[in-house]
Amino acid sequence: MSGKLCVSLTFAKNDTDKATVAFVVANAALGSNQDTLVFLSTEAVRLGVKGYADDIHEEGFAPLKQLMDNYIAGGGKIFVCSPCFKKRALDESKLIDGAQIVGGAKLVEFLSQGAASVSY
Amino acid sequence: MRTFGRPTAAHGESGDASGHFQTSYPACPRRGHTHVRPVSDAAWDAGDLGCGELVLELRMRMRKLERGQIMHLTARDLGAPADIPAWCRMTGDLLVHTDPATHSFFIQHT
Repeated sequence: MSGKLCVSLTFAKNDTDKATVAFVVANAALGSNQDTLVFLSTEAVRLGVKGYADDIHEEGFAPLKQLMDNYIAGGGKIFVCSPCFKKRALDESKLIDGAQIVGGAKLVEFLSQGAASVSY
Repeated sequence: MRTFGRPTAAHGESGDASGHFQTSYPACPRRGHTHVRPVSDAAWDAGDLGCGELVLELRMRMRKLERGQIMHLTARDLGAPADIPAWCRMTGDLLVHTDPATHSFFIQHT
């Protein structure tokens, strides 16, 4: 990996366009040999629950689940904001494969290692 | 001066008159960890506190320790198992032992 990129996403079904484009960009970063992290916070933590993204298909893009599956299969990281997840009373046993529930320190560690960041 | 609460015996620990608690636990396979639960010099049960609140308070409490002293942190937040090792890597304090069953982290101040 030649560099680090964090894609910060705060939307889920309340803006499927942003949620989709975030993973398109994350896949582009991964495909460009970047150590890539998608940080899901606020409403976006819902994307970390199995099944939630299955029916999201933004016109002009691949289905979100396919984008996410490809991202995970390619070695991309997904961090899920712990307090955001807890606030919404989501079930950690249904966390999607490849995702990790974290607090701020884990994100800060990644960013402090010279990562660039883009937000959706 | 802030005083720390004496560790409780809630998780099967046994204490002595000095207030130190030591119990043998199964070997921890992670590099840098001790296989035996270390003696702690201070303890803090952070409960469900997580994310920024957890690490900021932890930082304040760790700064009150002398170098080499060990904090027994209990943190039940879902993010703590990822956050505490990351926090240690950034601050330079050492995570010398963990016990997932009791949500325990033993951190040595450096």
